[in-house]
Amino acid sequence: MKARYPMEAFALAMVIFSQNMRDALITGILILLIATLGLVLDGSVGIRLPKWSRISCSIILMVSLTYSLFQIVLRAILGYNIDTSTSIFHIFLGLLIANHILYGEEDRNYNLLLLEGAGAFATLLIISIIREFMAEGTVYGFKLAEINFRSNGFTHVVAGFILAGLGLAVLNKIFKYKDVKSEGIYVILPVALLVQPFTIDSIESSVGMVIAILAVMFMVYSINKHLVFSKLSKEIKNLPAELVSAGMVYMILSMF
Amino acid sequence: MKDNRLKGIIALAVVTVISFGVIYGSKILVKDNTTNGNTTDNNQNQQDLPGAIDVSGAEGIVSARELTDDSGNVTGYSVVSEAKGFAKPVTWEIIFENDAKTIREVKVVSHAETPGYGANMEEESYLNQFKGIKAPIYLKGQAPASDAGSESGASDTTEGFKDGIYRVESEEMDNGYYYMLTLKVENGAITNVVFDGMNELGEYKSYLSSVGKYVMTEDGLTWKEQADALAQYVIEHQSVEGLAVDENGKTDAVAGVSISINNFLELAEKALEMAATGEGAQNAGGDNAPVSADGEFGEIDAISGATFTTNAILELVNNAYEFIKNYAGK
Repeated sequence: MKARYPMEAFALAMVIFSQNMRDALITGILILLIATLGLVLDGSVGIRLPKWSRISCSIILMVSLTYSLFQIVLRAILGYNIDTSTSIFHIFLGLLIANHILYGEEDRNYNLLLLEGAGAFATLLIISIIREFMAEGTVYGFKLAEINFRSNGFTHVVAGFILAGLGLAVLNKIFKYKDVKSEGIYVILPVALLVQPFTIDSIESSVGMVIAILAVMFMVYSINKHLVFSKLSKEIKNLPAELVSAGMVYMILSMF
Repeated sequence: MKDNRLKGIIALAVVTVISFGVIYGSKILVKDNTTNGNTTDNNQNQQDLPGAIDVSGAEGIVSARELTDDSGNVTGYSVVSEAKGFAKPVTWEIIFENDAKTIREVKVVSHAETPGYGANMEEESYLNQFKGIKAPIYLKGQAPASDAGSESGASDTTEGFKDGIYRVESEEMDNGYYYMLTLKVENGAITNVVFDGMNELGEYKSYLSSVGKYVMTEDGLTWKEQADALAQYVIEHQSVEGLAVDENGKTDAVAGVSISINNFLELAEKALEMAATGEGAQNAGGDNAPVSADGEFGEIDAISGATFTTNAILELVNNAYEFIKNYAGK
């Protein structure tokens, strides 16, 4: 079974772009817009192209469209300052949307795409509200309460991974997805490339970075191999379990 | 097939309309959140108020007006000034006493700085430090040498070092950080040393390590504690002699210090050489003194981890001071 909405793209957004509601709101709606546009274009033009051409065209179109739209909306319309790593994450979002268009459900049901996409968007917003409120005591930048139990830990990707995993598991339950096919590596790898859990001072920074990335990927891979033999409920199997385990790996490696 | 394509187009139209709604709504919310009611309106309102001063041509000045009492005497000046922050302009209202120099109070009009970092400018404790200080303002320890002192800012003493504040920075980035060291000499003796590093985002290593974002070992001293221990060594020994290092730049001379201290040694030696001659000394005003000894300028704290915001605040307050000083002719 395959997801009818761009699950991996929403998962990456839940990990990275849910630190505050401001980013989550824009990221969620743009993922939904780009995915719908991509599916419509692929349905009317893409299917007439040879397979090799369709794949490359979809990837180039989705990546360029995602990057451009995010730049236009965030930078030009809303006047936000976007750093390089955020822009790179936008490119990865484009790749994940292209992956959904090319390898998602062949029988496209736009009603369910909108319904389930809206569910994923709502989950993204809920996660962002939790993270922003617990870290800053604010929602959408507006101070709601002066809380004493605020924690910067909620801004860390550890919280992103764990909440994203739980959120997707709830969505799977609601949408009655069982053993849905998804690739956790597509979500975890971009995060590992751009947000390392630790730095090594005593060696060259690029070498330290490679070691940190390899450590994350090795540990996540090992856990996932172990999870294959675990008796998990079908809702939490695959992507949700992989995200939660990636969160645990980040939590452990952050201690160093 | 055709039916599905039509459904797709309808779905796309629906999502497009919702997207525009969300983006437009977001823009309104951001504007409300960051401006507390539009800067342009604020400017307009300020210009409508009695005592409004013409600010056309004044860079960074949004509006200004004279504050008067019931009998029309000028009791102070209000200047709304802005400067580029980390994301968008930071706008403050600075109220000066009628000497056009002493700051009565400051108010944050608008900003879009990062919560937890630049947004800390809104904290009352931060804003209160501006009350009663004289413009122009500088960061503590970075004020220029006073004309009343010696030409270099250093004052002669009977002992080895010349009084003043000596600040040195590394020229190149090392492992993603620029390093800086500030050394303070009072009565010929080193009384304070601060060693820190800053990354490309303007985040200080001391801050990152103290909030757990830069962790080296779980059970040892944090980077900040190790930097403080090295600084304490220099204060106690009044030199860096005895800080022998191995091939990895590590030392056994200071208990608990496991970081490579090559950057520290290089900067400390440079600062000590400067302190010996008085070259490059800045005025040593005293950490707790909000105003310089001769009362010519004020000193403020930086916002931790928010270099862009701190620079914006310095710029907008000093711009406001220059503007109102010229207007008042003082």
